[in-house]
Order: sequence, then C-alpha cells, then structure tokens
Amino acid sequence: MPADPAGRDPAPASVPTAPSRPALASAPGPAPSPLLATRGLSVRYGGVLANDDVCIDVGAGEIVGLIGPNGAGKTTFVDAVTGFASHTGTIELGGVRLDSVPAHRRRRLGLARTWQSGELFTDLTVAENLAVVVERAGLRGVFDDLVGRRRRGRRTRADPAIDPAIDQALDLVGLAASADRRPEELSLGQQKLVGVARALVGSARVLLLDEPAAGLDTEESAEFGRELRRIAVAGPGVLLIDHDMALVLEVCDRLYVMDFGRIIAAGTPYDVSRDEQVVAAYLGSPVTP
Amino acid sequence: MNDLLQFAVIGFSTGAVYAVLGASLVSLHIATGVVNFAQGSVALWAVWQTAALRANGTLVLPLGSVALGDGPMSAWPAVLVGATSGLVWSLAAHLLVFRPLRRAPALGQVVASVGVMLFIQALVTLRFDRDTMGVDPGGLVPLPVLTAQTFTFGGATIAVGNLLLAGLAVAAAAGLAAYFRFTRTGIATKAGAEDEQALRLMGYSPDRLAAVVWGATGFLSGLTVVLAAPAIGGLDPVSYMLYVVPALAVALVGRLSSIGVACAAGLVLGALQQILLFLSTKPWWPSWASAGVGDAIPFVVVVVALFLLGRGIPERGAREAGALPPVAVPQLRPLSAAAPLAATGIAIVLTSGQWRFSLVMSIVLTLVAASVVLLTGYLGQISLTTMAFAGAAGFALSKLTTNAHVPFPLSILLSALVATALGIVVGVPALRIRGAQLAVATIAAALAIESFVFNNPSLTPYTGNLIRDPSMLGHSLAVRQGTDVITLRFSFMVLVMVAVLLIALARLLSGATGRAFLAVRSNERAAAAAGVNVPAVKLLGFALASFLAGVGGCLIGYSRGQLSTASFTVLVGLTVLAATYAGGITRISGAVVAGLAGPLGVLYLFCTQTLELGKYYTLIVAAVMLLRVVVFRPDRALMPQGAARVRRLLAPFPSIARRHAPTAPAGPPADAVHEPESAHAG
Ligand SMILES: Nc1ncnc2c1ncn2[C@@H]1O[C@H](COP(=O)(O)OP(=O)(O)OP(=O)(O)O)[C@@H](O)[C@H]1O
Ligand SMILES: [Mg+2]
Repeated sequence: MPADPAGRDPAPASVPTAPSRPALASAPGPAPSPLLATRGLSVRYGGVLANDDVCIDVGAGEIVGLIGPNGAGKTTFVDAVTGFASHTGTIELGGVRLDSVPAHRRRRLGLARTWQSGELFTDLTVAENLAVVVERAGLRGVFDDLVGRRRRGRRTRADPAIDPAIDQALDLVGLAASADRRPEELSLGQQKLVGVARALVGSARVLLLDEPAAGLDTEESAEFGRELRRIAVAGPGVLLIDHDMALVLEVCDRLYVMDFGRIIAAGTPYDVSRDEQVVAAYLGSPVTP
Repeated sequence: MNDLLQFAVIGFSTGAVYAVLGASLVSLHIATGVVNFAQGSVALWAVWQTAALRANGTLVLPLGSVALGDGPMSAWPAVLVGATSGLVWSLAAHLLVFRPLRRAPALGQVVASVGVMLFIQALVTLRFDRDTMGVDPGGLVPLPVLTAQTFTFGGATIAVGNLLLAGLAVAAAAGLAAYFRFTRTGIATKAGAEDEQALRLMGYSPDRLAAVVWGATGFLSGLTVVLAAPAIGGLDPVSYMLYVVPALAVALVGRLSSIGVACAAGLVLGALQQILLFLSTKPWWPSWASAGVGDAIPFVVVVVALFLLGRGIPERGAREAGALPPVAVPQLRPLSAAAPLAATGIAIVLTSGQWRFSLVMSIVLTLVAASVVLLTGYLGQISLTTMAFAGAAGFALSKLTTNAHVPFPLSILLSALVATALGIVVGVPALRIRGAQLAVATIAAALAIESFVFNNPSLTPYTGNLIRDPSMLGHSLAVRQGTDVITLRFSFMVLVMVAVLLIALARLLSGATGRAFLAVRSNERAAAAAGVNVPAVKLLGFALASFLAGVGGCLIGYSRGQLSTASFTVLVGLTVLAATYAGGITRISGAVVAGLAGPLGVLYLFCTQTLELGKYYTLIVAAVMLLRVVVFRPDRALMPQGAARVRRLLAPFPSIARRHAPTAPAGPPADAVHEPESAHAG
C-alpha cells in the first residue's frame, strides 16, 4: 500500500467533487513526520468492511477531529489503532511500527484511548482508576506491595498520599474533588471525563478520544474544549471523535470525515464544513465554525 | 482391530450418558444461558430412585417416602418414575434457583449450580439408605433393563444394549435439536435468550419456555443414565454427579450451541475412554499412566476446545460479566489484625484433642479459602481447582520429605512452588476463556489431577504417601505427641504461618496488585487499554492462589502425617468454594467464615459432636450457600437506600464514611453529587 494518500485509487465516479484528496495534501498539516500515522488501515467484520484503507495522521500538539455518521467506523478505527481489532495496513507511533504490538504495550508506548461507553473500573475509585495506569502489576508490584516500598506519593484507600500525576490529570478535567468517589456516583458526563483523565495520565503521547463530550451539556462541552486545547498545548496529539459539531469545529486543527469506513474528506474545519459530500453524508446543512 | 471395535461399542454406554448430558447442557445454555453443573446430580437421583423402586417399590422424597405397591416394581415403570424424578428436580432447580438468578453474574450462576449439585448429592446419600430401600444400599447394583443379547460382527462381540443406548442418545439429541429448530416455542426460546423483551411482546413467558427445556433435559438425562447404569456398573452416591464433567467437555466441543456436535462428541469420548482403558492393559503402556487416563481426557478435550473457541480479549458486544459482589479492600490496622490472632491463640491453648484439631483445620481452610478470595473474588476467575492445588502440594510434600529428606520450612516452600507451577498451567486456559467456561475447564483439571495423581496407584507406595513430621532446629513440630492428637507447637506453627500469609495477602490486595486484579475483573478490555498486561496478571493470580492453596495443602498433610486424598477431592473443593461464596468471596473475613464452616472445621465438629447432625453437614452448607446466592445476593446491596443514607449521615466523618464506601454500591443519585463544573479552572 503506497504511503502517499494521494497515490490511492481515485475516488468512485459517483463522487463529483473530490476536493478531499488535494485538501488532505494541502491541509495545514502536521509536522513532516506525524506522531501517529496509519496507512491503508482496513478492518473487516464478517462481510462488513468497517474501515477501508484509512490513512490518518496526528501530529504532536495537534487536535485532529474524526467525524462521520453513526456506524461509519470511527470507533472501529480507534479499536484497530489501539490493538482491539485485527486489521491490515500499518500503524506507526513516532516512527515505530505498532501493528503486532499487544494492546497494553501500545498504551505504555504512549497510545491512550477512551471508550465510547466509559468502561471505567467500577470496583475502583476515580483516583484508583488512574492509579492502575501509573502502577505496574507483576512480580515487581507484588514485591513492592509486600515489602512496603510503596512508591512515593501513591494513593491508596489506606494511604491517601497523592500521586502528583494522578492529581494533575484529575485537575485537568476538573475532577480533583471526586478522586475518592466511585465512578457510579458520578454523572455520565463526569464518567467520560474520568476516562479522559485515565488516558491522560502516565505519559500519553497520542490521545484517541471516542465521544468524550457526550453527556456534557453545552456549557460543559465548551469548557471541555478549552481543557482539550490546554492539554494539546502541553504536547500530546489528540484525535477527537464527537458528534457535537460546535465542539469539533471549535477546537480541531484539522478534520477527517468518515463514511462507510472510508475517509471521504479531510482538511481544515472551514473547508470540510463546506464540502458538498460531507454535507450530504453527514452534516445535512452547512455549519459555520 | 476387532478389539477396538468391541471396546468402542462398550464405550457407548458411558458415551450415551455424556452425549445426553452434554446435549442437555447445550440445550439449557441455549434456552437460559446457564451452564448447569447439577445435570449429573439430577441423573444421580434418578438412578437411585429407580434402584429404590426396584428394590422395594418405595418412592423416596426429599422428606418422607411413599410405598408404590408392595414389593419391587417392575423394570419399565420404575425407569419411567426414576426419569420423571429427574424432570421434577430439574424443574425445581429452575423455579427455586435459576429463575431468580436469570440476570445474575456468571459467578453467581456457577456457584448456584454447584450448590444444587452438592445439595442433591448430599440428599441422595441421606435419603437412599437402609430405611427407605429395605436393603443395604452399599450392596446394590443397578438391575438391567435393556436386553442382554449380543451378536458378533467381524469377530467382535457387540452388545445390543449398548447400540440401543447410542440410539437413544442420538434420538434424544435429535429431539432437542428439532425442538429448537422446527417448533414455534423452540424458536421463540432460542430468540428469547437474546432478547427477552421481544419474547414478552410476542406473548410468550420466558419462564414457561425455559421450564419446558429444564423439564425435558431433566427427564432425558435421568432416563439415559438409568438405562445406562447397569452397563456402566456400580451404584455409588457420587460417580454420576461427576459425569457432568466429561459432559461439560463435550458441550464445549459443541461450543455450547450445537446439540448435534455435543452428542457426537459424547459418544466418541465414551468410546475413546474405553479404548484407552483397553490399551492401558497392554504391556507396552507406561505403568504410571495406567490409572486415571479416562478422567484426564475430558480435561484435554476441554482445553483444546476452549482454546480454539476462546478469545484473548473479549470483543465489543461480548456478554458482560454483570455485576459482581462489591469488594471490601482490606485495611490493615495493627489492632484489627492482632485481636483475632490473639483470640485464636487463646482458643488453641484452651482447647484440646478433637476440638483443637478442627480449630487448626479451620485455620488452614481459611488460608485455602483466602486463595479463592484472591483468584475468584478479586480477579474474577472462577476456579474449581483450589483443593487440587492443595493436594498436589501435599503430594509433593510427601515425596520431598520421605524420598529427598528436605527439611521443614523449605519443604513447604518447595511443595507450594510445585502447586504454583501447576496453577500457572491450569491458568493458561483462563487467558482465552472466562466465566462459566473457565469453571468447566478448572473442574475438569481438578478431576484429572485427582484421578491421575492422587488416586494413581503407581505414584503411591502401598504404605500410602507418608509425610515426615516437621522439625526445626532440633525441636519437633510434629502434630502428635504421645496421646496428644495435636500439639500446641504444631498448632502455633500453623497459626503463625497462616497469619503471616494472610497479612501478606491483605497487603497485596490493598496495593497495586489488588487494583490491577480488580481492574481485570471489572473490565478486561479497559484494563488492557490502561496498560495492564492482562494475561500476565491472570497468571500471576493463578500462581499466587495456587501457592496459598499449596501451603494449605502442606499444612493439612503435616496434620495427618500422610497425604489423605479424601481431603482434596473435587467435592471438597466445591464445598470450599461454596462456603467461601457464602462467607463473602470478596473479603478476607469471608475466608475466615469459610474456614470455620468448611469441611472438618469447627462448624463441622459442632455439627457432628454437639448437634449430632454430621451426616447433614454437606446438605446444610449447600442449603446455606443456595440461600446466600439466591436470596441474600452479595452482588446486590441488602438495603441500598439505607446504606446510602448511612453514608450521607457519615459524610462529615470522612474516615468512617470511606470505610463504609465499598458496602454501598448504590451511592446517592448522580445529580446529587454533580459538581458545578465551573468550580475548577485548570
Ligand atoms: N465487533 C463487531 N462485529 C461486527 N461488526 C461490528 C463490530 N463492531 C463494529 N461493527 C460494525 O462496524 C461498523 C462500524 O461501527 P463503529 O462502531 O466503528 O461506528 P462508529 O462510527 O463508531 O459509530 P457511532 O457514531 O455510532 O459510534 C458498523 O456497521 C458496526 O455494525
Ligand atoms: Mg463509535
């Protein structure tokens, strides 16, 4: 599969305007070597081609949007990138091929995700949900637990010292006060934010956020957008999936639009929101950022 | 070749039992999602019922009995009544146990079916005795029903009865499959397992549809086992209960969804076992493998089937495990650990003889149950192998102390490490399977270990597997001294060792290891996405749990002076799991309860000595556990509203409130705790 997206098969004839391909090349793009790069990524579920030849780049400090109608294959893309769906094509993080790396190793290499449905650890408190990322269970962990060499600043129920990284991450999403709560005590929107904090903590280089703002009201969603900008400024690249167009158009540097598993358009929010194909497939009517 | 054919056909008798039990298990799974470990027990009752009718015409009920005419009943009526008793038990299990648990987590359902399995088995032992049957049940054999005719075919002598049994199995499976395929109710049952709401809209009652399948499978299982029993042999109060293990194996070969495959696999397995049995009499067969091969095959079948069937990480949309019992993370406070320790020490000093012995047994069982807490309560892996791990360590201890003269503390360590290695091997299937299927794999492993290792005559000298008394620095730590059946020294050695391990366990469970376990238990995919190496954590859990169980097995071994295989049977393992679940499988205090209530513990002695209820012991434990599973479900808060209110009242006292947190899964409503988002500013 050629690495250059422009070298792919031409778009189907039924697509009259194809500003997407040039737009991809001319978009105010990521740094020359993007942090996360997928090339020709395809996922097949039985007869369904849920991702078809997807090429997406996410650069450092960049917020990239991935939008598309329900069932377009956005979550499938995140699943494939983070190691939860078998795929063809290549995935590179900082120039390192990840295709055959197991999911937990990808996380440790800095590829972090949230889940559309939250998927928090219901038996753990909010802070402990984050602690699972920071700590390493295993023989070393057993030894540390037994001999009491508790790493400085770790938070446990018994030992309320706070790991600065955990607190920082919770602070960023505004949930520091809920550190000792159980996830089920939080609102749905807050649970999503715990998921974001869990992805943030522990040296994440690329965040793949699957509808993190679903469950927030307009006000909270705008606040979340500002937080996201602050996060990205600090370095990590962000791939944001959301149906809240106000949020997406507001915070994203670039957008990819997916339909039926294919990228049908890419470019700046301004260009994309005017792309006829995108309007037809997803937006319904032009939206102004 | 003729021999092989002949033995294959002989194997059809057991094969038919596996096939019908397996087809029944698949049918029940299709209809209700339950994996019913009690299927064999239901058939066990039917066999005994038939035997009682043919002995003196008595219909034995759980309470009381009815004479159906004077003198023995003739064959076919007795068979029909026996099979019907299987139907009745199956229906009763549905109505009283499984229907209320329809939406319970897999752990609850597995424990419940284990409870039913133990309950019926215990009742069989109690009810079918000299009083009801008129003769000593020990001397009874199942009377033949089917024809004893044989014919020769290509030089092999073929029993017509065995062919009839195979035919019955095929017919039963075909009937069940046709029901799901061609009848309206059958199709609805199958559809309803996925979408109950749709079923109700169509005007069907899911319970009634499930009842049809429960009844039919109970009847067919009873009928087949009753008819096959004379060909299989003996009439003992356990064996048919454990036929559920190979049946579960073949059900898994059918992926718990194909009745036909399960039936075919059952017949093949029966034939294969018989052929292996025949081959193992040959001179070239290794003598160490001549016993227990038959029981080892199901485990191999299970592992292979599950490995092909399972998935490393559950896919999106996979059936969620459901709510699990809430966890109480142990809080180590010097006083809270010292007080029970001191009390136990005093109790050891104050008691003597039998009472001290069962107190020490309770302490050891607490350790074994604690390994269940770790593996099943915290890590969520349903393992039925615990007692087998303990026994394997005891076995290693015997070899290490008598053959290699390894000194005392080291002997326990090495033996427990043997159990650890075994635990890791048994844990490998857990990397790809979960829930009830893992329970199936582990019970098959337990059965294989029991018959291949503990009951293997070539591994056991004729004197039994003796264990040399422990001693340290020239001081004997032997359990007996003169007339003292259990010395103070030995008792305190056990107490110290168990206390140290429990404190270590509490540290683990409240630390990073415990958090990783809970993360895996609550969501494997999210755990992997959080950087947790899920396979490694699972194997770690199996290793730690089997180590703890192994130490327990060594202490049991030292207390007997030899490996007593009766302490480590599958049945004892199931009882321990049941007791731990009843005591509280997610807390160490639950292990203490299980220790006190477990086999040969203090409660057992109390039942036998003080109340003279010893023979009711298993029945009582099973009944208590069933009550706990069905009525006082640990995955539900007893009083969610009340608990939430208590928490709110305690809110001004954070340290107390936090301690109560784990017991109140349903916190205040979400909007009540919703923080104003503007409160934070980066
Ligand atoms: N495990 C699976 N097995 C089979 N098909 C699947 C699986 N997961 C997803 N699909 C299919 O793949 C397609 C893409 O689904 P996906 O969840 O990725 O869409 P999405 O863009 O995230 O939609 P939404 O906006 O609703 O979240 C859908 O047709 C879906 O039915
Ligand atoms: Mg999605």
